[in-house]
Amino acid sequence: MRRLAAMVMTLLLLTGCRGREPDELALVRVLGVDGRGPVTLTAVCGGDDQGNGSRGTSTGADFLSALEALPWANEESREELALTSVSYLIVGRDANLEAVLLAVLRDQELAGLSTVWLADQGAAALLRNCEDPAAALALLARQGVKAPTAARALAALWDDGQVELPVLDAGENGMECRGVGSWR
Amino acid sequence: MGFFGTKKDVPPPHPRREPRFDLPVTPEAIAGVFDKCADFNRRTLYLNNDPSRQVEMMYIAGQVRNERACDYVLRPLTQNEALSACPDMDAAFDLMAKGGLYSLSVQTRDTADQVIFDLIDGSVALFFPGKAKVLTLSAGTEEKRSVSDPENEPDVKGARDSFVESLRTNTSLVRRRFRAPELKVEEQIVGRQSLTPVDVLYVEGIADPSLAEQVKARLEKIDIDALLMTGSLEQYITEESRTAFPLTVYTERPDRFAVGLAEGRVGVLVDGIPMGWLFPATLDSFFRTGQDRTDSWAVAAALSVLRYVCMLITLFLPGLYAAAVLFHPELIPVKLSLSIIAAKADVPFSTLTEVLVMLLAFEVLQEAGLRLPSSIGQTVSILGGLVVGSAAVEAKLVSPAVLVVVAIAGIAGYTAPSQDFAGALRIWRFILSIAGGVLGLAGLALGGAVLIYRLARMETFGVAYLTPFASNAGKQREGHTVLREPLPKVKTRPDYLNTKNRRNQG
Repeated sequence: MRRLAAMVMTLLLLTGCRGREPDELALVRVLGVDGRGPVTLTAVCGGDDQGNGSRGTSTGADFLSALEALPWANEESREELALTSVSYLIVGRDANLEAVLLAVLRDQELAGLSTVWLADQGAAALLRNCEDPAAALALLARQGVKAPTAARALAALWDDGQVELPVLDAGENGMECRGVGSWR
Repeated sequence: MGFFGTKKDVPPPHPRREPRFDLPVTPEAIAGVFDKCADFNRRTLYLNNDPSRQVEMMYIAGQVRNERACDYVLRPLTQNEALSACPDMDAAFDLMAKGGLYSLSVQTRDTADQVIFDLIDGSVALFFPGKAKVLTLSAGTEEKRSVSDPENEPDVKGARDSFVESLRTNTSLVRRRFRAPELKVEEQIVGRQSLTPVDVLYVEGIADPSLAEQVKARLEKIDIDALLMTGSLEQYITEESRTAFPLTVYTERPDRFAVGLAEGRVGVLVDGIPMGWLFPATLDSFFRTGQDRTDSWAVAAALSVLRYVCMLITLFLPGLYAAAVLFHPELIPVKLSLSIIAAKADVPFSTLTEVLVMLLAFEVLQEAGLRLPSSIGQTVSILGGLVVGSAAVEAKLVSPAVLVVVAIAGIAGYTAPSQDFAGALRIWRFILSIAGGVLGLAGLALGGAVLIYRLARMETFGVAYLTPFASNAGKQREGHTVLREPLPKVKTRPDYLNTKNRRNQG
């Protein structure tokens, strides 16, 4: 009986490490990156016809500090930032692609499997005009537009000195692919 | 006041009175024991209508079959001329004991205990004036439920009979399948008041003699008032009482029981209980069905794997869901994650509360369905499962994902052939759900480790409970693990049974 009581007490003490309810998560699906110093991030949560399409922007000296400045990253926020579901990374022409890709691959949460897209007019402007970017990008992928993953893009950049990325522009569905652009 | 009631000092046990009735073997003394017993009967008879030769006859109505008592005892007693030709009552007594009366079992008794218990067992007792010995003639009634289909262990290609409440019928059902004279049936009486006959069955030359001795010794130790329910045997014969997991395997199928005996197990049959127990019980025995031996080996092996997978699902799925949603959302595919988030946004309760309440609701529905008559029980299940379930989702009281997870876990639990084992899994499902919801995957792993630790500590009759997974490492023979091989290839009995004769076929 004493052992049982000790176990219950231990469990009660350990309840301090509380999990997050799913509706308290800001599940970022699309991350837009503009500028190389300061770096501006545009994060789009939810989407993909599933609602919860909240957005947030932040600016920082570099990619990581901008990431930490996202509205859900501070402790007062009701929602917790979750970057494990970032599937699409949209990079503006003025961004430092190599630094961004390195930061993405080094981050514990950001998956190296997220696909990389190019926005000539800037990621923030493109995302601002699109109601459901995740759904629009998923549609483009289903239509056969091939975008390299962050890992492949960085490998190509290092091996070949350039990487081919699909170029996005505002369109009827919020986004459309305008061809392939080369990043050197 | 404790959880199980107020704890008080337990008085010391009353010693058993031996003999139970220290009385002279006279009609008056025996009749005195049955005072205020309306079913007790006593009458005086004349041998062949000779008033100088009187015999006192006693029996208990209902225990004795009238026709037998009349035809095989009364008629020869009053009409047999050979009895009247006897020179004295001593000679008549000898003649009756040696075939003058037509009972299959005639006993000469000289203690009150013997006479009393023979009467209770359905014998007619004959008292001779001035003689200290009594003749008891078996004329018991054989009223019992007829042998019927096994309701709880159906088998498409198997036999259609099942154990009944009569012990002797049950032993005959086994012996008809197992004709070897090496099949031993040893009887013990258990229960101070119920005096229930309990038979221990084993095959001499196959079963480990020490196992049979252990079973007999454990039965000998059971000192309770009455052995009338299965729990009275199951909870007293096993060494570990603080576990939800069953430590005995029972079957209502005589064929499965006989197969167990042939394997080298020791069986126990109890008068009044329509099932038989096989010892020792190990984890794998709760995942086998009688059909495993009638199906093709490939089908049986696949179904066996399915049952083990379902065991893991029923045990871990709700906890895994709670852990993944609350602590490790990255484990969940993005689209599913978004769907869960969207559904959860309108539900006012925490995920862990949802899971626990739904698990509890599932148990309540199951219990309600079991206790009610089958027709109403089905209605309750449908109403509860479909109508209330979907209404709860529509009313945003519960997430659809939680409902699906709990339903899958619940249904997976029903694949366990032993519902005793499934019951234990249900209790642990709650514990693991709480552990997963409170500590995430670490809690789930911790809970799983505690479960395995507890199971690994248990033994039944000297055999590890987790056999064949945690004992006889490297020695386990083919065909006795999760996967069954074709029967012609399973040439040996399970190692852990320590049988005297290892080979089971040529």
